[in-house]
Amino acid sequence: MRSRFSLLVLWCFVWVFISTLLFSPGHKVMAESLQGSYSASLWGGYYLPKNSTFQEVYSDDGEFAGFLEFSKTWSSQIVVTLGGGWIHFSGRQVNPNASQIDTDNEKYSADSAKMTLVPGYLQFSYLFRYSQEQKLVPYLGAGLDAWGFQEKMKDGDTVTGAKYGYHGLVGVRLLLDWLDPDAAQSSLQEYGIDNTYLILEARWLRIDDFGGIGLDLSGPLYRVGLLWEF
Amino acid sequence: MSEKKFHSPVLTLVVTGLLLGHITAGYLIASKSVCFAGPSLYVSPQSKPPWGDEDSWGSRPVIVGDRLYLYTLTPAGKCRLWRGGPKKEDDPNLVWSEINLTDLNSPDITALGSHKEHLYVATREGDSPRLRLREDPNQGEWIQVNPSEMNSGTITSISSFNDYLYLGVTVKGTEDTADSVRLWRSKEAKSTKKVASTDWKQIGQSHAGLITTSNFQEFEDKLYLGVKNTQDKAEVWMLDKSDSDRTIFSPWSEGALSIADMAASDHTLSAIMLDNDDNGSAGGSGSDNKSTCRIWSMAWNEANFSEAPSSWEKTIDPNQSASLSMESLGSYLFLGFNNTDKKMEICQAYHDPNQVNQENKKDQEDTKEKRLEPITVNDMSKPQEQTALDASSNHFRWLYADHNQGYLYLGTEDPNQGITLWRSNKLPIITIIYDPSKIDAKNPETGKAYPYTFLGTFNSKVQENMSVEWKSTKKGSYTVDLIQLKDPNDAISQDPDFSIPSQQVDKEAKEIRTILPVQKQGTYVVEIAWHPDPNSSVENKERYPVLFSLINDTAPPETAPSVISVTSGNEKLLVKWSEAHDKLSGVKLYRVQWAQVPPEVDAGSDPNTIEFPGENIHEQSKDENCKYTIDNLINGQRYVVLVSAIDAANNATSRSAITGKSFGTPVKGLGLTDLVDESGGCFLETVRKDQIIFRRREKR
Repeated sequence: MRSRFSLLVLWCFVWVFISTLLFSPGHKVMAESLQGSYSASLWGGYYLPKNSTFQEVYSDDGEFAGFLEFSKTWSSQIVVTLGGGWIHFSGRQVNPNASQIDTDNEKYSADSAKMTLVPGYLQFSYLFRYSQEQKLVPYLGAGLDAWGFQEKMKDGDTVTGAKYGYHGLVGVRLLLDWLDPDAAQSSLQEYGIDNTYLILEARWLRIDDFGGIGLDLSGPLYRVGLLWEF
Repeated sequence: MSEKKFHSPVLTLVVTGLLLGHITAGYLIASKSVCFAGPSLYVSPQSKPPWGDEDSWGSRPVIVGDRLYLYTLTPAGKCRLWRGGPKKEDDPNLVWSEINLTDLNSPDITALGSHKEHLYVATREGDSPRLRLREDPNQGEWIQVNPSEMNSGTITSISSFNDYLYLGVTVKGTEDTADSVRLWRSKEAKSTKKVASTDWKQIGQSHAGLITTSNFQEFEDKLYLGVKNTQDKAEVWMLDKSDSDRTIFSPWSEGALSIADMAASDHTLSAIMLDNDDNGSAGGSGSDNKSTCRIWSMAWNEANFSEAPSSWEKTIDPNQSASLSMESLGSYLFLGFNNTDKKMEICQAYHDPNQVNQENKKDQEDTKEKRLEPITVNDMSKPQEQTALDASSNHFRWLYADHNQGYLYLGTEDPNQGITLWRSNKLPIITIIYDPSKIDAKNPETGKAYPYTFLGTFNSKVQENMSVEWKSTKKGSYTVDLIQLKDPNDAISQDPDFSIPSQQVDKEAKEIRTILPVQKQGTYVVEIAWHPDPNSSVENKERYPVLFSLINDTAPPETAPSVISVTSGNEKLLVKWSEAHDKLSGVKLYRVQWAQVPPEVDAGSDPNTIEFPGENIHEQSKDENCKYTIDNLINGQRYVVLVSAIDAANNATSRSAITGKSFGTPVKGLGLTDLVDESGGCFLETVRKDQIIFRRREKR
């Protein structure tokens, strides 16, 4: 089910990518006013760790993830982003004698476990943007991750640490200014916001200390966000 | 019965008993006696009244000590204050005298109140509201005792509650301001008998609105008042014993115009709601439209009012909507109004014992509700079948109850004969003495409310003497009869368990304890009723029976619980079990017991051979989920956990059988980081010491 969903999301992004490239202007029009601009964005999404042991303790349904990002754009197309987020899982500890017990109820302990993840990342993206008024802006990118984690076990220990890795991403920005030009103009005059985008993005995370042992936080992350370009 | 000619047009006041009916023809006696006999009411005319023929009613009376006080209005709008009392002890006739108000310069009386054996008279003198008190109502100076800060408005409500005196004041609005209500309470009434003008404090803020009920209503240690807010919607305001501001109840729809009156009986507060008519002009003068009155009620254990059955809905004369009135006597609720035929109508709400065994014939719940039925008003001085109080010429004004003596008073106005105060004969009003807050009002398992007054769940195997405590307003002989016994399967038993033919009440309001020889299991519905001389002509409907119920449960729950799972945790076990059931009184508690056991104890072992330490026990309510976490256990030790169920009558099942699911061994669980061998460490230290090494991920 989840793999079908991932495939569907991937196809959506590919379709938007291709259609945008196909229908984009034949020549590149650089938006001079955006060269060297800054942006901030707020994100909400769904994180689906793929590791089976993770799923065993914290369910395989995934969890909500929230993010805040700050970016700098060069030449309207090259974007460097520094971002951070917060994800929280609740689960049940596993009975150490679980292998001897076949019922699901007794596979788990009566005690709960909670996992808090604090992702941090630095990423580079390329925007397929050819004019400032372009409504759909596809992009792709990659970055390095450092994820803090803390697992609290009820009536037990608390384990804190960090895991490192990398990610790849594909997304599309939808320019919102054309929906309400007056509000866009007002935002520009009052707050200096050049553009406001709704963003859809899918990213594939590999957070396992680059193939190391221990905790593996790899998995897809699907997000939607609002970005303000200054 | 005596018979005398009715003097018309006079205001008369009768004070005769049902069978006495004899007259004290005298100077200031002016009364009529009425008999509220189930659905009948009897009257007999008396001598010339003290007040003028043209007078009209001011308000309902109040009782101070053994005296009744009321005021009337002359056609010129002058208020006259009257006091009535028995000529001598046990004399059913009242002697009336007028109380002099001349030194108050013809005040408008707006309310009467009784507090600590004193009469308080609220007046408007000029534009100012006044509260007056006189040591002896017949002589001396009228002392002004209203709050000194009170300089506007009208005192419409006076109530003695929790040893304090409460005032409800309506201040009429102007073009720029809305009507508002202010509530006052005496400060230190507990230490002083009389209230002085400096002894007041205002409760909460001044709130927009208009008081619509004639007085406060006390109910379950709180005080209630009917108010119409500025959006013309009815509200009930509640004051508790603290100084905190009002609490508002207003669950009805927008069409609910005003609360006309309130009364409390059977631990339930009832309110008459005057609803908007179809044309939106309820009670409008000159309108021929119908207005509707509906009853809303709130039991002691309910959070808000709910509407009475639709059969309780009444249509009233919109021109007489101010005359809606409700009173309670024991468990009986009386409702009076003028109907759309411009006739006086008195209704009575009560539990009908004859309906009890018809429960299975129709909707079971409906028959357990009180019925609201019209009662006829008969003239006691004439043959019952021939004459009746002329409901067409007498316009209803109010009902008033003397709860201690068992009298119901009725005020009427006859365009031709003046105003009349009627008093019932002494009614055998029975009160069951019990504290509902100490008894489960609902079956703990099904949540279904028990019918009638519920005395509780008993176990005749444990309690030898089950009893009911009660009192009555009338001396005489009473019967305590079992009128229905349902077995645990809800089948009506044809073999009654008991009947107590005669119980003597030799003193009014004396508390009587009746032993109930209950033996069989089941749900009992019992009736207590006045039982006069068998040769008397009193009909069954005049006995004012009171119903109560109780449950006798001597057997444990039919379905015992069994352990479903025991889940290990760190020094703990989480046990889950199946629900138990008890048809009669309902499962109330579960009892969990646990003990360390050696490996020899296994599935199939006898639970009775295991010794459960006294401290290894936990009881929890049925309302909680069927699970419990046993803490402070020793990791690695093997435990057996058993569960039993206890019903509302404290009958317990035996412990659940020992199965493979009854055992558990506490053990520390493993988290994700344990399972993947992640040692973790401080985040910053990890960042500093870890080297980023690209290597193949090891497969687990």
